[in-house]
Amino acid sequence: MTRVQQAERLFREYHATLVRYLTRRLGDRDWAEEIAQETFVRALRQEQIVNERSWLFAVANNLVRDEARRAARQRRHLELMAAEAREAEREPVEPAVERAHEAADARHALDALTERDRQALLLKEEGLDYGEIAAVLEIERTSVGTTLSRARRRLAETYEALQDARRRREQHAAS
Amino acid sequence: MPHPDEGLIHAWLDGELDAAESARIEALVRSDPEWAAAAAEARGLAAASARIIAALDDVGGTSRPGEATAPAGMAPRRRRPWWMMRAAALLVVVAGTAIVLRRTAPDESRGTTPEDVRRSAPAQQEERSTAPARAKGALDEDRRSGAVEPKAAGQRDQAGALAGGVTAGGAAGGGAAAGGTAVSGAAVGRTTSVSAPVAGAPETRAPVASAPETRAPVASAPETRAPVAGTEGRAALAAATEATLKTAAKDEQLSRLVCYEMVGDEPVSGLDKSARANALAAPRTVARADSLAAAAPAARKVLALVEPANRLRSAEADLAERPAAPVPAALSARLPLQALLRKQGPDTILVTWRDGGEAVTARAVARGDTLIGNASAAGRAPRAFLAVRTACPRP
Repeated sequence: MTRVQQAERLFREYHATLVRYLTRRLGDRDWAEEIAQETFVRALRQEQIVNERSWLFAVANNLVRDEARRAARQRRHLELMAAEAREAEREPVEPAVERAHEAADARHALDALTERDRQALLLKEEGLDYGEIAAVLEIERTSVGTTLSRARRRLAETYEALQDARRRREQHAAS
Repeated sequence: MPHPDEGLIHAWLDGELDAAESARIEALVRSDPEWAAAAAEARGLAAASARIIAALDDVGGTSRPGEATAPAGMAPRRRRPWWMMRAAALLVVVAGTAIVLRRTAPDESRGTTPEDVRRSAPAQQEERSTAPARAKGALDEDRRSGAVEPKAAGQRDQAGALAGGVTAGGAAGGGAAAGGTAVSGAAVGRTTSVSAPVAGAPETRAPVASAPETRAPVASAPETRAPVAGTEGRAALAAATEATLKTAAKDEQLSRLVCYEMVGDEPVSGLDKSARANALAAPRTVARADSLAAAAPAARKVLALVEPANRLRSAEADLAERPAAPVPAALSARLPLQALLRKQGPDTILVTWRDGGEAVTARAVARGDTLIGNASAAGRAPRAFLAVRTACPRP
């Protein structure tokens, strides 16, 4: 199989899942597409890829990390939480946007995790096994279980807290 | 009995333990209520996490992973007037670019395949990748109206490369000085991609940029409106234009020049980040056309120089004067506009760029001299904007 054929196969097999992972991680579909495309371009240039799935996700993670202003982006994103919460009190919640509120809470809860926990969780949801997650995150395989347990707990607790707060605001607005 | 090890339990639930270890944990969970409770909790957390993460797919753009359409981006509610100016100005630059591209677009529609990845790889080494583009509908429409003559093969290739994406080497950078007379220089490092709408919905998006085979001569777009800039602003724009032209000419890459002028914009309130809400934004934006036209003008003129090698150079200046010319009562095709914005049809211009490291996404439709659209970015409120074609200042 030529390198081009190899790249085409990788593209077919992993593009969708890689974009989904990146979109979930970044909250930005366009950005995710850019990173994914660059990842496959690099795969095309790569002579040999041993563990292709973990290689692709690791490259994608590195590309994301290379974004110089990522930290600033996250800070601004977190700052928005308060502003959005305030505005949510003023604006009516339509049934059509209820799922969007849930999604916003999910995003905020995910953003509240540490980078490693967040990545581990998203990689697991994309079907990577512990060995692959360990390879991508450059951690010991034996640490993945602990990382995931911590990440899952924090994600669920934060999300629940956000949901509770939203419900309280809605009840307050209704009363 | 050892205390429950959460990490071990999660690894067990995930099927990551070997047979012996798995049997040991299983026995502990069966025999020890503490382990059983921990396992039950871990199951709940794993399920909850999966559900929460799945909820993320409801936001992040108009499309979801696995789909091929370009997104409108997340748009949390927040008012940032400074962003309106910069983002909308840059949007207009790129949207103008897309219009030019549309008028010189390839005659045949073609989806992007992994084969495109292979073919475009050399170009990708220097340029940021962008989305595939199709503009057949617009080209056909123009041809029917006689607005566009058939292009030579080389020109079509060039247009395809342009439609594939534009990297802004000097787009709408720093702020203008007080009084609105200073010209922002070349702000490097900002990447802008222009995606003409995808008509056939390929399954994936892949880099399609390719090096142009021919160089089109410098040509300015039709000047349909008189300049409205004040003297100082016009001089500043002319200086910026000259500088940019020189740089572009040096690279022999300049092809087109298009200018739009912001005449109004305002936040589109009541929206959220979801794809559904982005769809809702389109008709709201169109409905606000009149109020946009009546709003205080942004008074920022933008000129765009489009190059065939995935680069966009531009300059901008804040102008002291309000536009004197009345905003055209255009938008007569309101319903078509609404439909186009909602459907991302062949006339919809999709634009994304980086502003301060953040992705800004916009969709716009041009009709005659009028450009109307939504612009949104993660962390910023969606904006509806209206711009009109204006004369490009010449050095």
